[in-house]
Formats: sequence, C-alpha cells, structure tokens
Amino acid sequence: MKTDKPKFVYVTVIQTTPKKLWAALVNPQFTQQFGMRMESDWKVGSRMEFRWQGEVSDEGVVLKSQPPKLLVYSFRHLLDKDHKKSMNAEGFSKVTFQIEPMSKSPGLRGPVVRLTVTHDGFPPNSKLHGEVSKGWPTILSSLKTLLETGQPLPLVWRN
Amino acid sequence: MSTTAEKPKFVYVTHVNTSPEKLWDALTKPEFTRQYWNYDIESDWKPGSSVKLIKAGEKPKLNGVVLRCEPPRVLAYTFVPGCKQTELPPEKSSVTFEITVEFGVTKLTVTHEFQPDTRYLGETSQGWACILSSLKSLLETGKALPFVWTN
Repeated sequence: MKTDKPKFVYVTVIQTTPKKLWAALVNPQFTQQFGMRMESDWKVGSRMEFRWQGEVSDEGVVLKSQPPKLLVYSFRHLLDKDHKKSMNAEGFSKVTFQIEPMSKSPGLRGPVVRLTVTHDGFPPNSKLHGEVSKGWPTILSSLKTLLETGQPLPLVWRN
Repeated sequence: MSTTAEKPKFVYVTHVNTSPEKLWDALTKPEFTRQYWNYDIESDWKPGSSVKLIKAGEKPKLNGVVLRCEPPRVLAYTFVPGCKQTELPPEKSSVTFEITVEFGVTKLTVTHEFQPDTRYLGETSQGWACILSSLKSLLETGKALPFVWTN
C-alpha cells in the first residue's frame, strides 16, 4: 500500500435528496446522532468544531461550501488520550463531501444521491489516516441508516 | 487502493442493521440478489462449485468458482465477467465477504482482489458501492435502491 500520499475515499448511495443530505450534514442535532457532531456557521473561512461523545475531538476550517453539492473542510485531531501516537501532531488534513443526484428508474420511488467522502492531505505514514479509515465507514453507514429509516444504527461505542 | 506489483485490492466496509444470518442469506440467495444486484446468484455454495450471476434470456454476467463458504461468517469466490460490458479483456478476480459484529452491529467487509496491472479497479469500485448500498437499504428498509443500472 502506498504510504507517500495516503488517502481515504468512500462512496455510499442513499435514498434521499441532495438538499436533505446537505441539511443533515450542517445540523449538529442530526450529526451527533450518527456519532460525529459537526458545528459551524458553514461560511468559507469559518471554524468547525467536532464533538465525539460530547467532547471536542477535532477542529477544522470550512474551505468550500456549495450547497447542496460540495463541502470541503480542513481537519485536525485534537484529542490524544487513548493513544500514544500523537495524531494531533500531524496537522491539518482535508475532507471533501461530494453530493450528486443519481438517475432513478421510472415508476420507482426516489430520489437517490451518491455521496463521495474523500479524506486526504495526510503526511506520509500517517497514523490518523489509519484511524479515520476505520471510523468513516461506520459513521457514514449510520448516516445512511438515519436518513433512510429515521433512526441511526444502534452502535455501542467502546470507551 | 494499492497499485504495487502485488495484487491490488478494493476493500469496502459497511455496517448493516440486520443479523449475520440475514446478511448471509442476502449474499447467497437469488430472491435477494435479484433486488439489489439486478441478477440472480446461482450456486450450491460448495467449495469448487460454480457461481453465476444470471438473468433470464441473457448470458451469465459472472462465472466463478466457490473458494470458501463458512456461514454466516466468510464467503469467497472467484469471478470472471461473462459478457462484454467494457472494452477491457476478461480477467479473473476474487471477492471475499466477511461478516462480523462490531460495536454491536453487523459489519460486512468486502475485499475484491485483482490481477497485478488490472484496469478494472475504478469501475468495479463504483459498482460495489452501488450494489452494497442497495443491499443495505434492502435489509434495513425492505426495498432496494431504485437507481438505473447501467450494465
């Protein structure tokens, strides 16, 4: 596996509209339900704060905001309590959410969107890359479940 | 995704609010695959047996061989595309489905391993995201995703 430019990309397809997905991402009451509360005024240049189980875990800056298609922010890990890995010394990486409508079969209920999340900008041999690569699929699986069923996944997080 | 001389792999992880047994059924029974994969999967699932994805009136989409079948935890099979979908030459690859429980929820890890120098990685990655998202919707809401299948 290449370690010079580690990158994580995840695609999920969700039965929802681009506007509903965008509204969900920018609403902290919503995002805390699937595990990663994101708070910001969402203007380019504004700070973002991420809370994990109530505690501020990461911070970032909004880089691009084009509702309901594209959200890009920088991301830096702040907590380091369970790890001796100094992930917070790695500096800022970058997260991109791309939201695209997909063609729907006529006669079937819709609509459908493709969400592509890219997390890159890690330093070589990044430890944070390994951690977020495990975390994102769980968080995004719960986001999809919440949008499609009205409830997040019944995840039991270890502490 | 790896691009070294070793075999490149695509890995996809999803958590699904269902039991490992129901997820296993969805992966191995045609009445499920026809809904989220658009094809009936056909196999007796014994190691060495054939695996096919078929639709009435068409040649099989995939022809493969069962490598491992350990319900409801591990399913693996090889496959070669069975009809001309792209300009690329046919190439044997293998896919492994692992079902575990993580954080109290059933987790599916799909690993698709290709030949070195493969050109299938990009197209297959998008395909799996659609298929597995639709599988998750089917198991959680009772309905697969209604997108248009392009192949």
